[in-house]
Amino acid sequence: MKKIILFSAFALLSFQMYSQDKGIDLDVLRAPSSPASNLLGIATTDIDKPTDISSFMVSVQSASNSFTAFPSNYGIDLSPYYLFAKGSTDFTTKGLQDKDFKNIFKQTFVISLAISNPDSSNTALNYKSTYGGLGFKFSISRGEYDSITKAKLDSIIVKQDKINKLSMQAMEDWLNDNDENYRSLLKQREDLMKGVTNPDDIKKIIESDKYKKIEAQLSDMLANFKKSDKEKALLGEINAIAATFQTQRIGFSWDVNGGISSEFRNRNFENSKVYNAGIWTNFGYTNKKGFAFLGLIRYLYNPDKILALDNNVNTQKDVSTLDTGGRIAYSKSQSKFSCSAEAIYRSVLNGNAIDPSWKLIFNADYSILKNQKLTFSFGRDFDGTIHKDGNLIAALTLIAGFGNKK
Amino acid sequence: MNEERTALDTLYFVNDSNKKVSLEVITGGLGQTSTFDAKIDGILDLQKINGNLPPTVITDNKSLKGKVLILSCTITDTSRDTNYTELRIRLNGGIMFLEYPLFANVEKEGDTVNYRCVIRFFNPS
Repeated sequence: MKKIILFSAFALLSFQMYSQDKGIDLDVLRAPSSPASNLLGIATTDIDKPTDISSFMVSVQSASNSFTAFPSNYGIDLSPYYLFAKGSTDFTTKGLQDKDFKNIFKQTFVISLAISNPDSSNTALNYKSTYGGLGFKFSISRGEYDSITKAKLDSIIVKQDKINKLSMQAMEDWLNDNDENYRSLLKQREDLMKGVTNPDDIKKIIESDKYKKIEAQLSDMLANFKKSDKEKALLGEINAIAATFQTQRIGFSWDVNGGISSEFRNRNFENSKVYNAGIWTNFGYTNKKGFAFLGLIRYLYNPDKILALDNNVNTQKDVSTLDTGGRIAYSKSQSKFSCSAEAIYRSVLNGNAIDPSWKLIFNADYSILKNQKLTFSFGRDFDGTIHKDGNLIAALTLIAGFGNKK
Repeated sequence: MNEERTALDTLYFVNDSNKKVSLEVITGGLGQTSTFDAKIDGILDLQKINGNLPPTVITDNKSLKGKVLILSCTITDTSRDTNYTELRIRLNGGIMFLEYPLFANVEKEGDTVNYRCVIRFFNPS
């Protein structure tokens, strides 16, 4: 298993380099709420609210150390269908409204990797070890865009259509214009191709510098059309709607998550053990006012962390637990602020040597900039005895994405 | 094509056969909003297509000889995760399959890119 996790880490890091070459924007940010982060306990919440995915998400988390130390937690999520199977489904806002499972699966399927290098202040993980997690996630149902989201999209589409009509007319006028230079370049290009009918030979010519140069000149002529006042006005109107646009979904949602994680003792990749593995589902309903009522059912194998026993090593081997939980989340449509409260009850399935335990946590987060988010978590782990004190959970977390501020 | 480009004037290679040619249009990136028009005089007239166009038969090779496909696609940055926009036109069924990828990053949140394409159906024989 450790080889799979290590291989995945290298593959994803290699892919990061590849994606930079391909011009994929890495300036993407979400709280590390991926399955791999959940398994390592570095997610800001255990019960995820359904959101639209990123094609490639990298997150870095710095918490509880006055932001002075180098971040210790990293999460990488990627959407294989978006990155490797272009055209297999529609990832625009149009396609993201599809309701059939085949498309929902392709659009929401995410592979995630998380790495945690806990410091000595971390009571849940061994600070002498490195932890790596590999997970997956997909939706079965995800609700639909709310009325504000739909109305804004409709308005954008109407204006885009007007721009297209202007652009089509401009191109037709250009093609009928018989510009001498344009005609000359067209002839030069066709002369290069005359008599070449073999696909391999065609490929060689269209990849030649001479062909590319002619085509670039022809294409530049199209690109350099002067924008009309009407088009400029439409672009401004669209920007006024789109600049602060955010999608908000309402209705029933249902996700499936799973994964496995390893602990690399003494940060030695030759000395590892399975830290935990599990499969879980999130489900719930989000209403028009922005309130989401969510549930969690999660099976975990061999969890070292028994909520209220964070400070103690779990001495019982091969523990299986079943978590059930609920969360109420609030985020107003098109808003940068969201908050939630969640409770999770953990029961031990094999044997009764360990008491059930539970956790309460409050979360709030605010998007400061496009690639920076501040999250605040506050709560407590409790064991089965109500009067006994549990462990305080409090963290102010800055999550920063890679890339430029825009 | 590794550089940003929002306009394309190119060729697609057809022959004298009755083999059907299909058009596919892919727009993006993830979470962006797109609308396009596409036209081939007397053969195709697509208007206000929102999102992608799955592979769609246009007509046969010989009927396309000398025809011109013009396409205008407008993509707005409605994603808060990326400023990347892209348009990919795929033509299949002619002498060979060809994909024409175009992309551009918008400078500001909510900006819009208008892509313009002219594709001439050329019989090289």
